[in-house]
Amino acid sequence: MKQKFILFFVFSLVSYLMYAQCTQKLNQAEDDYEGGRLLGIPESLKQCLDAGSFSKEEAKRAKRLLTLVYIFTDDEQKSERALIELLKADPEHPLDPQVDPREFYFLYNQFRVEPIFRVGVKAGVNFSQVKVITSHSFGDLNSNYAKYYNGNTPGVGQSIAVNVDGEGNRTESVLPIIDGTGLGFFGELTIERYFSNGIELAFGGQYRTSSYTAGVYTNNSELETTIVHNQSYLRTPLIVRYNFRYKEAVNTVKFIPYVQLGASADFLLSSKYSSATRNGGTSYNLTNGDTKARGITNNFNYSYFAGIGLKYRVATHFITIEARYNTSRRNLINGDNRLSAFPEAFDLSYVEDDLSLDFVSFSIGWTHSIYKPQKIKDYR
Amino acid sequence: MTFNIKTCFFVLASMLFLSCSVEDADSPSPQEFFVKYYGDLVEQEAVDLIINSSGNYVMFGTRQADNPADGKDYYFVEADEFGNLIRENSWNYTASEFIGMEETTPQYAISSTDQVASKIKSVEGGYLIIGTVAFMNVTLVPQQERLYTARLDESFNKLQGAELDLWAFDITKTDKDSLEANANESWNVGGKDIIQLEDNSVVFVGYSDALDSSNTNDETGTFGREMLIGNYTLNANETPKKIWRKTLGHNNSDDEAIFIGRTPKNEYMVIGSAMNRVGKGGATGANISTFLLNGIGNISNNSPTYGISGVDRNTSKTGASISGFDDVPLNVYQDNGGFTIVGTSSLGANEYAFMLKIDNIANLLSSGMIHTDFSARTSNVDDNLPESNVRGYGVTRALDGNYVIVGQIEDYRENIGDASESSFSDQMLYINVDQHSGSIENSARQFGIQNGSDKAVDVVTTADGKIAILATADIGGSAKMFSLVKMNSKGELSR
Repeated sequence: MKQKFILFFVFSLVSYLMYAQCTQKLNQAEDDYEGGRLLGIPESLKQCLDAGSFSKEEAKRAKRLLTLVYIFTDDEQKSERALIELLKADPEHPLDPQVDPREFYFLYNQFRVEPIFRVGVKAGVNFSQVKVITSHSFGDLNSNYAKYYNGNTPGVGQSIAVNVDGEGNRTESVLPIIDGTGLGFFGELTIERYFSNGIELAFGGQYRTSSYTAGVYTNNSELETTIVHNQSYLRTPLIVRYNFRYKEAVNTVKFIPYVQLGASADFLLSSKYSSATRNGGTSYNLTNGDTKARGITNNFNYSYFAGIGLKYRVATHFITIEARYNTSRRNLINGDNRLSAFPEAFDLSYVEDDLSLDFVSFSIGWTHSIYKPQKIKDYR
Repeated sequence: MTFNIKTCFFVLASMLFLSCSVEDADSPSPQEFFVKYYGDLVEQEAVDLIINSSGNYVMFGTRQADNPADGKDYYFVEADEFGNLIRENSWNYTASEFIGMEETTPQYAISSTDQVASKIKSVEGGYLIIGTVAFMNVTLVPQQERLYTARLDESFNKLQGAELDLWAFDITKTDKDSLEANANESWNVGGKDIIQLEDNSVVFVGYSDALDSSNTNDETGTFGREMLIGNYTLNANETPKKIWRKTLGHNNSDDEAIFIGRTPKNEYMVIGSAMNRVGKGGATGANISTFLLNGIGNISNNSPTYGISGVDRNTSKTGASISGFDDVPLNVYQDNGGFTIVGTSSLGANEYAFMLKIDNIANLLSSGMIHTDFSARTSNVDDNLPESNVRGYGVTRALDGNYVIVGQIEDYRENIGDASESSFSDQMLYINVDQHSGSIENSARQFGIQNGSDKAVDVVTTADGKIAILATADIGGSAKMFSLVKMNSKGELSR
């Protein structure tokens, strides 16, 4: 035990002495560069760089210094290699016009310094909004017994019971709202690539679960049906994103707001009723409500979405928060099968509308930048 | 013009979100096929379906009054081509309108009336209805049935004065305006079908209980229930007047008329049932009785009675060889070629729908029992389950020339020998039948509420070639609703 302690102490002492020695060498080399004594600099830094005896910041300073030395000793190949090493150690290394010479700018601009791509991961919640294309009902489509979706009656007012007595007198009473949240979740993995002028593209996959609750009164307030629909989708979002102040952000701005547009091909993985109940008369509960297996739902959809978000820079990576509005463009329901594949419709007093689903979603994510610095090929 | 990528981005955004609404032109529209329920959560019984001159569906039946002690009301529903409710109405032929019973026999003090619906016909300016009114005493025991008919406006309200009830003492009055021997005020009279003539008078058919042979109005039969046919004026603000009235039937037979139509020669075709008659091709028991009458109700031609030949699958006996096979007609579809009759043949506990076709002079064209492959519901799941009982209630002709019969299939299990398969209480039945009265293979469909006693009671062919079915859907808890089901000509709820 004692021997191990001594060994550890000796190792630490040697490392500290080497570190202190390399720091001294780096300071000396920078002085030599300022004094125009360039030839000995690479040799003096090489041992420390190879041994990894610099701190991260010192290594960046050393590699920058080597790049400058090779530029001014007209060793083009070595200057390029040194710049690559610098960019590996310090991706998107910021240049300072007050300090960095024009020759360094010239070389720097011949290299790809941006990330070759980014990997974005997001997770969040969504809230469905049902858009009715065409109404279908066991009750009266013109009546006031509107179908509720997540507690709302899209496009019409609240459901109202109308009674007409024998004298033709009409009385109306507002019916209780059949409530529902329409809550779902999603996870998304995207590959992203920045192009120019703040524009970047992203493409990836998303797994989304969603739900909506449909409720309807048929002809009177006592015959009430409530059905909770659940879906899961595999989606393929393709996103065009515009980042505000993207270029400035590299050096000065931590927060980058953005707006985005996207489209996605959506493949239905599952669709079912998690609960389906009719009250009134003898109550009825449906136990097997797999609407996908029955062909009541369409298995393919496509959607557009728009979003706003905010990136927070962490080194060269980002934490993102985002809000999106997603609109599906095809009917979720296969109208040909809405009744023929659903004999329990008689029991539930319920038939599916033609409808599409829109979503408001909120997510938090991490975007990781992947770099591969490389000289840009000149085809001239 | 400079191409600005930001501008492009926002233009694209605007185009995407301000453009297209979601559409699905390929999805069937709401009037192509549908299922509708009408009424409240009380007992409603659907009976008759027609399409009126506006192309709307009109449904006729009864519903329990809000206070059950008040009996059953007539109930009317009119719906558009989408099945959307246009109007509904219900009313009762109240006891206060009943005249005479308490005066003659105090124990017949009437507490309420049950309306029994039979037919509704669309006529200019409204409708004609016919049915029966059952008068009940204070303990709700029926005391007497009366034929009831009325002329209604387009909102199904009775036109003042245009209603008629006939009871036993009306019928049993002789030509000398006195009651026939043995006349009894508890005898029942009922209405089954009605047509309107060119002079706006109406001709109705139904039944009247036991008549005496001394009654000169009795055209043919003696004793037992007789068919009733009458020609009356029935106009608003006028007292209905009898033009002529007859009773028809067979000796020692209970007879009921269920249909009246007019042949191309302007004769009346009366179709009904005759109990204890030996029919052609049938057997003793109830059979289908036909009468051709001239313009004043006299028998003008042959009046054959028919029975249904068929095989009782459950006993392997044929109808023609079985004594007591009852063939009861329930509905008739008329076209240029004649009359297509649907009903139920029964032998003991076994029941089969049947179809029988006759021409315009009552000659038999075809007849047959309707069998299905549905198995009776039972706890026994071996492969020898009996065929489920099937009852025929309505018939129409589809555009392909075949016929559609609707009715009821009694409790059944989906597949023989598989206890895991769903079992159903009485369901609505749809089946295609060819022009030779033979059921078309694999055409039978059942639908309805799994645990309710549902039945399809009438069917019409719509202008777009689809089939519309009126049914009673049993929601449970004593609640039965009218149901209108529109489907394709194959009996499927799809295009």
